[in-house]
Amino acid sequence: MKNKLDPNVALNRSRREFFQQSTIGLSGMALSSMLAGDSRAGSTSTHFPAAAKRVIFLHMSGGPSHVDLFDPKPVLNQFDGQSAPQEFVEGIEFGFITGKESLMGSPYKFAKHGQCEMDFSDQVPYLAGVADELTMIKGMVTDEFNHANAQLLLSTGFRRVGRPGMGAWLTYGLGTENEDLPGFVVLFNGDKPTNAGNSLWSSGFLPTRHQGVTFQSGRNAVPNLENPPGLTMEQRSNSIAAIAQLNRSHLADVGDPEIATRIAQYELAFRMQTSVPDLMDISGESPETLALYGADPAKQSFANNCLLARRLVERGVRMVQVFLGGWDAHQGIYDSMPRLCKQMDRPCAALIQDLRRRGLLDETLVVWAGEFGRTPMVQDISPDGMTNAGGRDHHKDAFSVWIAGGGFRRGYTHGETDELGCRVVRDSVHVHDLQATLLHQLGIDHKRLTYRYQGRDFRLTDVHGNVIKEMLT
Amino acid sequence: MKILLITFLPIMMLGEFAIAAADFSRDVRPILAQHCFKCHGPDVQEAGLRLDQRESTVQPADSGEIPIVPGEPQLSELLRRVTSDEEDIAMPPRDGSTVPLTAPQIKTLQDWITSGAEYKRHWSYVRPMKANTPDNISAIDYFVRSKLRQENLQPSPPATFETLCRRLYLDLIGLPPNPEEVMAFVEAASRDRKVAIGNLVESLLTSPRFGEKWARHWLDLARYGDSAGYQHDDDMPLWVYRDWVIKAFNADMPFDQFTIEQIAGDLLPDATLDQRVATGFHRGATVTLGADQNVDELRAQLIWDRVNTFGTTWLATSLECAQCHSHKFDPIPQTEYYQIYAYFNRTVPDLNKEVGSHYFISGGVMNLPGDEIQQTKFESLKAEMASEIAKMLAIKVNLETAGAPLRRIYTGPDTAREPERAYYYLTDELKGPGPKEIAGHIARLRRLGHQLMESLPPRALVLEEDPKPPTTRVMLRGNVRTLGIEVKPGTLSALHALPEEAPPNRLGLARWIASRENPLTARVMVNRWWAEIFGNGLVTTPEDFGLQGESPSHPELLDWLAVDFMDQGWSMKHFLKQVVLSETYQQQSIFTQEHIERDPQNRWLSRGPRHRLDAELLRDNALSIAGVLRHELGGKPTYPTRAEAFKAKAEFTWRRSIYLRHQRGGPYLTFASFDVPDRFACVAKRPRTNTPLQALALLNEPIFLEAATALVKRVDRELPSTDIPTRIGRMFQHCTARLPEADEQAQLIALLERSKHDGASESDAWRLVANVLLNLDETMTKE
Repeated sequence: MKNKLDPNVALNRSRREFFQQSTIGLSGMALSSMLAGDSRAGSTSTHFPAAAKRVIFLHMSGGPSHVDLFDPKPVLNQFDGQSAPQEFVEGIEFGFITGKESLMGSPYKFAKHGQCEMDFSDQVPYLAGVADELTMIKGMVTDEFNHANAQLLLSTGFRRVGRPGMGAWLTYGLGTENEDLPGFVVLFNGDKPTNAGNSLWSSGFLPTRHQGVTFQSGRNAVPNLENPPGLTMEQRSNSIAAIAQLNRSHLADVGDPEIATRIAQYELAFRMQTSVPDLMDISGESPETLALYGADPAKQSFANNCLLARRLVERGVRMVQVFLGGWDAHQGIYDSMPRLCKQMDRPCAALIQDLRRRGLLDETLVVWAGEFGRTPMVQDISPDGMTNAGGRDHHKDAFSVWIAGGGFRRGYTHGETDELGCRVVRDSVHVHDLQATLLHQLGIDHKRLTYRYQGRDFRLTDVHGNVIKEMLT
Repeated sequence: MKILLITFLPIMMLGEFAIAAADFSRDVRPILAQHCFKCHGPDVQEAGLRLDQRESTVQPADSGEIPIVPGEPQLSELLRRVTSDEEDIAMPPRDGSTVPLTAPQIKTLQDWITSGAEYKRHWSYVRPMKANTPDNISAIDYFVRSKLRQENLQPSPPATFETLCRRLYLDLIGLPPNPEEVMAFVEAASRDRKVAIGNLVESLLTSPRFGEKWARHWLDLARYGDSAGYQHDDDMPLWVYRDWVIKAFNADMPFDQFTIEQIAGDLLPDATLDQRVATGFHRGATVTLGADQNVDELRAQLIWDRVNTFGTTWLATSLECAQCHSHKFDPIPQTEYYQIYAYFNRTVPDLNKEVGSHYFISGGVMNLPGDEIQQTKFESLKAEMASEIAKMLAIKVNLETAGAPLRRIYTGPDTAREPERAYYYLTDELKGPGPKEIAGHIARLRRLGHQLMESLPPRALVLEEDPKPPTTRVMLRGNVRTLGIEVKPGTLSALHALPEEAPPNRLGLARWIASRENPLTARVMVNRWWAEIFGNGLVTTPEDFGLQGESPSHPELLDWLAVDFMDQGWSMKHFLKQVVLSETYQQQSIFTQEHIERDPQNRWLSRGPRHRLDAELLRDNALSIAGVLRHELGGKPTYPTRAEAFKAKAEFTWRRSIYLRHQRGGPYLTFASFDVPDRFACVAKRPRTNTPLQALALLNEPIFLEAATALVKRVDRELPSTDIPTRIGRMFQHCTARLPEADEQAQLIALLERSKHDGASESDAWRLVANVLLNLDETMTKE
């Protein structure tokens, strides 16, 4: 049911007041107001023309192994079982291992795919099928080798809690295009998808309306969305109308513009009671689409979340962050890898294809990243004396990340690691560079989207970051 | 518009403002800090020049030239250098790593030198003075009225007695008055306004509910939580400290003592149990519990957090920048940051790391006296566990060591002395049921472990000095692994001196802060409490009184209040009384067109305070209106929702919000949506948002629905009459402290009738009316 409240003069006025009195309104306010004073401004609402409007960030938490997925290392295979030469590991900080452990080649077969001849292992056949859509960054580096810190760095640009997540920065800077939904939505399946918890999608010091809203599975995706048993939507509509009327007459008496905001927010809440269940209900998708993703409306899955991500960006939500955990394979990596790839591979490729055929990929950035990669050396913990199949330790000095859409070069591989996948030898991309480049594609100069807090201007990229133009069309 | 101002403020300041009078702290120092301090500042003095101190700059430098000749810009070497294009002369050196000064910056320096090159100290670093005020008007009203006249604004008329009564209740004890209390006050005030207000204020200030209200604000600063945060989000027994705060506010403990006990209560001579509990303030610091965490960095993280929280809480100064390098804006060299660090780097480690992935909260875990039975039970369980482990370790297990007793491979903690830690070690290492030979023991151990956790005697986390504290070195670029010079405990040179007799430990630091010489703390605190009442501080950046913070709207008032606060024995209740007895506070909070145009944020206090209640108050308000809020002082945290209580097998109670369990890693969503911080770090100011998720929470969250039901029942009980308008009037009065107008009443009756007409039962229809009333802006707002 659509909102039945009568739009009238008072509400129009209240909406106008809402925009006036809050620093940022519902659509694209921070940048426009910053730019209003900019000498070069006046035409656009972004720093420069935006290639992309929205972001879907697929966060593979735990840190997938680059040398088993996208970065083939024949030399590593060749020296399997031997110690890495000292110069490769000198000065690298590892989580658990010492660096002297044996090298472990990848058991997976790699091949070149697409016209661009991009490398993929046999674990990700579907992604291999969309090779020509991807920018593959082989030279990613980060500063942190602990999960929580590295996840925070990737999501908020800073290694410790307290900074806004990227989606918060985006809704702060660009607003949202759908007044019936939050501008920054977080999706995950299963427990404990991250180590740093909800500080990854926090609004930090930004006003809290910018914080990521986690949608849970099923119909009641947003907390308190559902009316109590026995209360019909009709009654809810009546009660919201009564609240609005009483608030309006109080507004007339006391004149506080905040009341006008409150009236508008109750209306949005009411609209979300309708829009959110509709959004979350994927049963209306065609069987072909469901099959493309491998989504099953009855289950909670990463595939469903990828499909939901499409439905969210389709509706104008600014950023969707989707988590898939489980990649932290200290042991038994060749048990967990096929299982996870099976969950991850097809939906990711489907998302790209689906966005492409709907004409949405060019204006949507799809980013796939873990917080770090994994070591070429084996980690073999066996505290109970039992033999485990090998694993790989955390590795911050080289890993792979890919991006599709949003004006990134299609079928392009950026950077290169050494023969063992240990260090980047050409065109390294730091997490802050990635963030700066993503913001650039959204029309934002990462150095100029700032927020003043405790006496300092803060930004997503902290005090670093360079836009990597080579990756862009 | 606000953003625009912020973004372009520096340029405007350097331009137009500078012509009027270049202020050293505000205008000049940032330029010197940006371009010059790296080589001629507090840390390094190349060419014998130190530009942050006047003595050094007005004398010849090593070159023989005088950097600054006050009043004579053309003779000042500094200006010649920064304006020069010659490679050997130009400053900063054109080595590719620097940028030259901009024209407005040069102009600022020039104007400043012309006007005498005074190194005027930043306002907040100068001790406050109490200006004289006339006798016939309260100091607050005197200063506020003067400012209003300057701004050509009128004060608002007094609020109605009903509004004022509700405002006083909400501000002082955080709960609304019931209709009888409102009526009694209105009646008394009609007879003698002054006496009635005085009496009400007195009684509210002595209510035990007072401390429960005011502790909340302090606990945001103390980043108080009931769990450690991060990975396992383990329990943290801090609630005894929370109760200490409530008690201290109720007793109006002088704020200097309140300060000393929290920073260094354990170091006071003959420290009492309570004084030790007070140091729980700094045990709120959170940690990253990770299997792969570097222990040195873990300790550093905790101490950084203590230093930074200390700075924000008592000095409203963000020390954090100086963690990695000398502060760019405020006069805080990195070495001084680590001097403060050194005070805190003398406690025993907060965490112990075991082999494996378990960390134990340790370092000053104080068992509290009281429950002897529980203590005995705990000890006997420990003994049982020790014997169980001993039996298990004797068993031969067929692991890789082929049939050796388990004891031989065991490398964990001492099993007799620390069975609970040994237990964690064993169960952590032996995941699942364990090898079959010992599976029975493991299962029994797990059961014992569970019982042990359940019977933990009450404990408090406190600070405890390490008899052999590590030395403190400056951490270059804030990196634990790149250490610089060694530093001893010491304070900030930009502020007052450390008394000579001050001991070189936290007690010295505490006495330094609690000193009347301290220009910041009293100002910082009265400003925060002022903000709690008025919605905004006289300084709108309560977290930052430094050079990057905002200037006070009423500087003389702030100073007067700060000095008066100290003069009155650092009494918070005295301060609050002054505020609420002022006419400024008692104004009505209605916006006029003039207010919207000329004082939208109420910066000039042209009307009374009006803002949405904080999350905790919203909940307490609803439960109190419903008549179900339980009043018991202190105790273990309770769960915010029935579902969580059920899961934890705990009783669900309608206690005040201050007692709700604050799970840092998994916050109570309704509170989070109303801006309750996660308390991972010190927060001096909460935002006050207005979102659709809030609407959904108040409309549909079970606790607010239960409150609606209870409100209907309450009115059933209270009113024998079933007359609909009377009942609606009573409910309305519970929510807003006033009776509804005729049109308001008509709308509510219409809703009731319509619901019934649509098929709702009598009680459901009434519940909907109560739900609407609890969702009124007026109900959730202090007016």
